[in-house]
Amino acid sequence: MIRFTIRRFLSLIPTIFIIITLAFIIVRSAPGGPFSGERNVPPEILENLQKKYHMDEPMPMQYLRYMGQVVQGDLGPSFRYKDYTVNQLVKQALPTSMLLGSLALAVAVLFGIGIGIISALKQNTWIDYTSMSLAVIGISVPLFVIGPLLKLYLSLKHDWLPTSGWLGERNGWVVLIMPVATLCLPYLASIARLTRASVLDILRADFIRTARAKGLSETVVMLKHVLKGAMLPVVSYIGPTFAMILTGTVVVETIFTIPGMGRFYIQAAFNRDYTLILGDVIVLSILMLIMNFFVDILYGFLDPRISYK
Amino acid sequence: MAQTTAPKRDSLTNEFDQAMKPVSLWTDAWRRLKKNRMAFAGLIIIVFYFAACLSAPILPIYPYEEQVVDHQNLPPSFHSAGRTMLATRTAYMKQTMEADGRTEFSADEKAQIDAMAQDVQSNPVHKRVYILGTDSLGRDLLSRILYGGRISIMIGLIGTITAVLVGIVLGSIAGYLGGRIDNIIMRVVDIMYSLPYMLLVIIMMALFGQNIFNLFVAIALVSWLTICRVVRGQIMSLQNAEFVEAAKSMGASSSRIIFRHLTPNTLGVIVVFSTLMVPNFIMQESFLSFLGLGVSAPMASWGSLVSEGANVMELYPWQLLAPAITMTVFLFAMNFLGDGLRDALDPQSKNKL
Amino acid sequence: MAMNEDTILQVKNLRTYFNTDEGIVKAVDGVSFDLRKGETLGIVGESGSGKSVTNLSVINMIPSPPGRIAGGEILYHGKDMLKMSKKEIRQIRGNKISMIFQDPMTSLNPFLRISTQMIETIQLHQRLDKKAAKEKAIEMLKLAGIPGPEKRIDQYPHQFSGGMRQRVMIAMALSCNPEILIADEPTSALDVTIQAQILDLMKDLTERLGTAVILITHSLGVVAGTCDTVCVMYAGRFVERGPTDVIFESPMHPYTQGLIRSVPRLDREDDERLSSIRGQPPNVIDLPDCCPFYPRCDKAMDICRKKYPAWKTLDDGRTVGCWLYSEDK
Repeated sequence: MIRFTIRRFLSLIPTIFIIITLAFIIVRSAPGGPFSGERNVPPEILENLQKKYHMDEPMPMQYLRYMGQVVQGDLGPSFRYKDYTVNQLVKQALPTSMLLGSLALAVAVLFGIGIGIISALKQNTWIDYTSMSLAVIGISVPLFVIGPLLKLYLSLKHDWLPTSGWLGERNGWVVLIMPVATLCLPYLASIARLTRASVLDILRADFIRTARAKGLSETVVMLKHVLKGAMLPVVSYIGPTFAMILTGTVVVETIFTIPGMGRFYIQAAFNRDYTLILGDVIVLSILMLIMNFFVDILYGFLDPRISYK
Repeated sequence: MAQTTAPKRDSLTNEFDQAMKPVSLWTDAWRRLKKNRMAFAGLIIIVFYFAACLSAPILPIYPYEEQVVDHQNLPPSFHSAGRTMLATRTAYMKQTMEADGRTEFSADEKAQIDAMAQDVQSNPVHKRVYILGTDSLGRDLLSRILYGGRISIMIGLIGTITAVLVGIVLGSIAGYLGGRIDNIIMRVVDIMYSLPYMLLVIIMMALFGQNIFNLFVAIALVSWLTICRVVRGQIMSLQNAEFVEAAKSMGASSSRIIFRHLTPNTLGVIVVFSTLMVPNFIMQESFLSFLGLGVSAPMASWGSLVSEGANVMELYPWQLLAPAITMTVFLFAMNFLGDGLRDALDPQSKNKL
Repeated sequence: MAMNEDTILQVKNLRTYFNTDEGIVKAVDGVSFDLRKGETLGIVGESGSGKSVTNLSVINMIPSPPGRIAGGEILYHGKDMLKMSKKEIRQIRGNKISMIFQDPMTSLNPFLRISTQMIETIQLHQRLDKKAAKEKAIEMLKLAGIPGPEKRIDQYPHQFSGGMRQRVMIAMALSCNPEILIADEPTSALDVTIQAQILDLMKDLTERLGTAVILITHSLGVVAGTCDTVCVMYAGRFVERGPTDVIFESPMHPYTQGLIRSVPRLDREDDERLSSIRGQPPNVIDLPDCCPFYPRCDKAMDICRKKYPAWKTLDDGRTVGCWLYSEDK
């Protein structure tokens, strides 16, 4: 088990390098530069700016220079927000996105699994049909439709919830409800469907027949025999889910004007703020990889076939 | 076990006079699909959408990019545009009037109303009927939704087809040949899998410019991964299956084995996967459009329409609702169809007893 | 079917049907047999003849939406099991009547340790604390021929080979000393050499513990070697039933004769062709009223096409269902 953990951890490192490199290549091969959006910059100043940011050096050198900085934890200065470094900007925005993303993940996983199990147990009853139909709706409606719709009805028409903003402003934790609800909905639906299918799958397995033939009650069969195995596909789905949630924060933060990484990312992309883009990609990728890492470990715990070879 | 002494009989009944229907995978699946009402309804809805969007150029609808300034932001109605326009403008003027504390229109306002009424009578453009209303530039929403549907569906289909083709080719090669080639392909897949590709797509679209081609490239680039894995897995597990050995022992060549034996078995999985991929692609495209990175004006896609509608949803909710509902129903139908296909093609699937 | 004090199980006219898309499948359509204390009863037949369904019906484990027990009685010590409450049946399962299944690879929960799976049965049916239960489990594993049971009991199923897993299943099934062990093709999924071992183990343990066995198999060899009584099943019904040596020596039903004849023998002439029963088993949906074997039967008569044969009990202790042996009115 320990060796498994260590191996998994070590494989993270090359992946991160590849991601950074890829992002670097993409960003740098794009036409134009970070200063092409600036109007009327006299050529000499442009030259000086290039020199200051080492953009006059050959690309491989810039790459190495950048990697060197990153390894030391320095993500460079922001091209757009001239007075800030990327580190500072990320420090500001990251906790917000993390909070939003984690809450959404927690709600999606907990409620998704719960609904999935109940649907599986009450298969083919109205409970099952309703929740699964709602689940299909959940995965068919895009985030940027749910968000504005919720906003429309809960904020504008009925004034139950504030339209935008984040914690620390006047509204308190109520402001969390809509963004989290929007963000978690499609994934809650996916997880519910997945859990239901997984539980039904296990219920049909031979070893459940054996358990029943031994005289165990249905409750014991469910809790002891079914649950552990049924959770496996769901657990391995948590990794990609988290990645999708992080991506989704881009939309949700835009809709509800939340000062998080997602919004920064979009603005940076439009502004061609190279360092900010790269910085965001790096941070978000690391988050995803770490989450995947934990999920893998958790999976190893649950499935003895992996850890006891 | 040839029956030498049994009497000749009609091939469709056995000795007990029980009817024996020939059963192939597809006829069996089709029968099961028909029984699944939601999936079948989904299928009908999708056919309807395809027909509508395909025939958009020949339908009697207004050009999607034509802007009629007078007809800005008209609500959906079966009345003529002129009448609706007159009603909304008048209502707006009434509001201003009441805000001012008056109970009557001023001479100026009256003149405006009269001029508008005149125009409505004379100008034929006001005879139009906007069933779904218009947007902020006076363009017919129904038409834009239909044309937007063409773009969205096309993106969904082409993206899926590309992803599936690439995935099948690479997956089959990896699965069938195994060894080093398999290792290389799988490593590439693993690495690409762990990339936050949506983020990269966003970068690509923002930096390389928004056009349809880039859009396809960006989205299809990462979507072949899953299908590749699935096909590879299927081929590897089927390779050792007994019917392949049987075919080999009868002298079948490799290509024959792949095409006549392995592929039909994988086809089921591929079909289901593709049906569920199409809505995925449409979602992704609309995601990008929402962020302003998708198709650019005057073209529309469902995503861009929803995004425009979201901006003005307080004042003109139909501009959000019409495209949103259209898109949602389509995705909904595709998802149900995909689920139904999965159940139909796999009779032992967990979703039925 | 005289009932004597030794009879512990009586199955009377059991009928189990399944509702499918194509019609009602009468998987078991009127099966009756008795089981005495310590007796080994074999049920033999082709795939699809209804053998497994019969077994599952005895402990009432037919998956209920498509299937249902449509009729008959299953008397265990005189009490009809089909009328028992769920709680009562659960007390019998694993405790008085145990079942082992065909595929040992999938019959054990891969996510739980062997110790967990064995201890839960023992603790459920016998009032033992965890320590005592574990000791009992280890003892059973030893009896079942698992080397080093004290260590191995804490392992997971995937760490055992197929034959070992079946031994574990047997140990688990016998751990509460049941009166009846139902074995559903316990060796079909194993290598031939292991098959013999497992059968010997089963015979040994059940003799020692005095357990009656209902053994389902499609192999006549297995039946000949282990069973006191044999029931031959075809298309959901028994066609012949009786003491093993009697049946094997002089099979009466044409199907039984065909089965026995088709076993390859070493003492035959080299160039003699292998014998087989021509034709295929019927589709059991909407079977008309006739003998289901008639299309494959060399001795079929006119009446075989029209009516299902009546049962006839003969003097040597066997019963047979064939028009050759009973008068029709």
